[in-house]
Amino acid sequence: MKLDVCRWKSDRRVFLKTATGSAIIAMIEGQSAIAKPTLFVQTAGSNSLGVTKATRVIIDTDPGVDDAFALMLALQSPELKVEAVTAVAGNLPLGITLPNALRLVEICDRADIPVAGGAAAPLIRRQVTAASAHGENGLGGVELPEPKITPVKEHAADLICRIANQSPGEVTLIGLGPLTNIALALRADPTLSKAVKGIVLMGGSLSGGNVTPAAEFNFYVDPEAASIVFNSGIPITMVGLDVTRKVELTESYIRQLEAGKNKPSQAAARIARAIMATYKKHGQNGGPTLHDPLAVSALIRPNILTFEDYQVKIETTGTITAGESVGWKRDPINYAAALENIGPSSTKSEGTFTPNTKVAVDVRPDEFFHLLIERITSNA
Amino acid sequence: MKQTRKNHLWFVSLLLILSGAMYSRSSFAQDTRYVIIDQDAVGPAGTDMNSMLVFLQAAHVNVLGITVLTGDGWRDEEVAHTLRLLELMGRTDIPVMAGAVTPLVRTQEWTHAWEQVYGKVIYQGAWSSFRPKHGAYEIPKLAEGDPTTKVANEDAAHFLIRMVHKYPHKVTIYAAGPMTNIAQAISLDPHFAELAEELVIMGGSLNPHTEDKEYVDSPRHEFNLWFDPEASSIVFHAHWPKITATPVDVSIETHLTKEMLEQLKTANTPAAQYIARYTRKPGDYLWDELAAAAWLDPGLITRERFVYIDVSLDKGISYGDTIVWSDDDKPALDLQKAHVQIDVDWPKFKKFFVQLMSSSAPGATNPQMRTQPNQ
Repeated sequence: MKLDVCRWKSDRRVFLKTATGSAIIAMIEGQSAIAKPTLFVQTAGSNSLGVTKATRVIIDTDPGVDDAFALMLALQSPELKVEAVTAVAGNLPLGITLPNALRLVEICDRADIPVAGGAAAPLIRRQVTAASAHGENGLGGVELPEPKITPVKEHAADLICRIANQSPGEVTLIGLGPLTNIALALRADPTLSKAVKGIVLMGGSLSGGNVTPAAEFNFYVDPEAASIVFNSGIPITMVGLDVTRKVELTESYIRQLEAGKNKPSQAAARIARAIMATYKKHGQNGGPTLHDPLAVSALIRPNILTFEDYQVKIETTGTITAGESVGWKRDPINYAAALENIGPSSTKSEGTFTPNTKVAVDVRPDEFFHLLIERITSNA
Repeated sequence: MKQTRKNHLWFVSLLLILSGAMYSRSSFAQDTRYVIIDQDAVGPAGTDMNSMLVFLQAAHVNVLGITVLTGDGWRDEEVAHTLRLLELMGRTDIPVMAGAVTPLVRTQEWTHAWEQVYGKVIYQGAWSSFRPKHGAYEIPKLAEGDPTTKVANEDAAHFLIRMVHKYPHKVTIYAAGPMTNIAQAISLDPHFAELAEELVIMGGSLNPHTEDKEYVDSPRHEFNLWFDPEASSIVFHAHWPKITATPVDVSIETHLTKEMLEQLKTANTPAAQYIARYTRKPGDYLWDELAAAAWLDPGLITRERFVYIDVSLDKGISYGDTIVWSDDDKPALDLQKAHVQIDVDWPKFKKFFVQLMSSSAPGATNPQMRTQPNQ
């Protein structure tokens, strides 16, 4: 992606004064008026009247078939106030994920939400994509109209820093792709980890990977970025393969989408059909696994998932296991053994058990699909 | 005819005067070189701070700004030392930007685990056990006085990016600390490196001829590149018009000698007085000073190698080590060549440095550093 040369001309201070941030927030505040209050009390802090405030989120994504479903779910759910969508290279190169993000925001009639482009490649490693699972255009080959809206000039990492810092303790990041943009933001602004309320992410697994037996795709693509995020101190909610592999979209749900009258339902059904046809060609039955919307659902209806506290670290060293998420449940926190005995206590614990992650360990798929279909087919 | 000729002569002489004036003006403009100093700035005095003085003392050098990051010390304390230096030198017109507080990927905890398997790393900058212990964001009282000026609002990476777009192909990036800020700029703007004029670093180690215990058994280890190996690798893979490196090999041929300090003591400039007053003991290598000085006068370097350069990201024993290849043995990767300095004309550099510090600074206004010869 070519960068706009002018984008850096105004410094941050000037930008903060002139940016559309406040206008956007005002718009989103307006949107919250239509929120259905009190339904999902666990979602966010309630005030004394029991009225639930929508959770303010920035969605970092690489659409992507399941990302498309996740964006529709988030954009059509009143429990979430989507402050911005940021695109990253992952399932497909940034040249595809960014226009797809724009398309999806447009299909949900949410052109008011800023969309920013971010990292075109992982921090260190060579780019790996998953076109075979998502189609060359990231949407199973379904041609959605060219987006009319354009991305904002700001880099995704800058936008994340700016919005999070404007409202410390308020904004939750949703990471649906490789964590490159979020890692860049964390390193660009060392205070960001204090300003962010939490990170909910689709990625990782405590029960084996999908690219290698060790690593899930998002962490496999940029293990260094994932490691930065898990070392950041931000409270993490990890929705990984442990649960997402249990939410495969089936024929009956696709029919329900097809019955939906709005644009998102129709687009979602077409994408799902196209993916099923592709799978069939390769001798596989079944529909797409909806990893990313399950992560989004954790913020809308947390009781769909069961969580357990873990101390999670990301393997960046292994030639075979890079990108593996390793979760400790209790002390001692041990790393690899020394190559030689180095004294009486040759196994040295590397610190105490301090859980940094709520890991989703079980899921109620029916409840998830009920929520997903209801939201996508509703006219938000 | 005569009249015409007279007019003609007059015209020619006017033209000569004008072109002379224009020539000297344009030559001045050509001579002004733009540089951003990217430093881990432990002070007062010491190699990090003294290298800034090399640029501040030089004629026809426009220091666009100083970007600071954790390396030898913690970022925020270093920012304070840098602000104070600029106050003492009367150069508060130069902005100071704060950058990275930690390496991209490496953590102190992980490094401790690594040391259990592969052995102790003698020098770890801000993480060193011998450094005064304080938190990353704490700023202790400074020996040279606390600054009253403030760090800029813009962060290091964005400043770096904004400057190369403002002066395309004209800005030298002088990086004498870990490479985190530069890597961050490259990650945020893939055109950053190609828009710079050149990259000058103090960093790396090839084959230093020394008994120094930090290098004798680990000749490819050097702190700046080691502290953030991922950032170093990102920087070396970027497409710079030119890379110049001052590695340990040549640094160890230089020392801030007692004799130099005596000479600086008698010089009446704020720069010389600053070094004389705050240098705790003579003998330190002139790591960063040489990298800066050789950019001003490449003739100081008597031997260099022109090799492909990278840093090992293998998490084993070599993690963070400098790697170089010639055209004959380079792997089929998109690597960049660097001018790696091997030997220096030490007497010439010694003289150059003392003279530069002892000469009046071009851009200084109302320096706060009182000159107190023979103190």
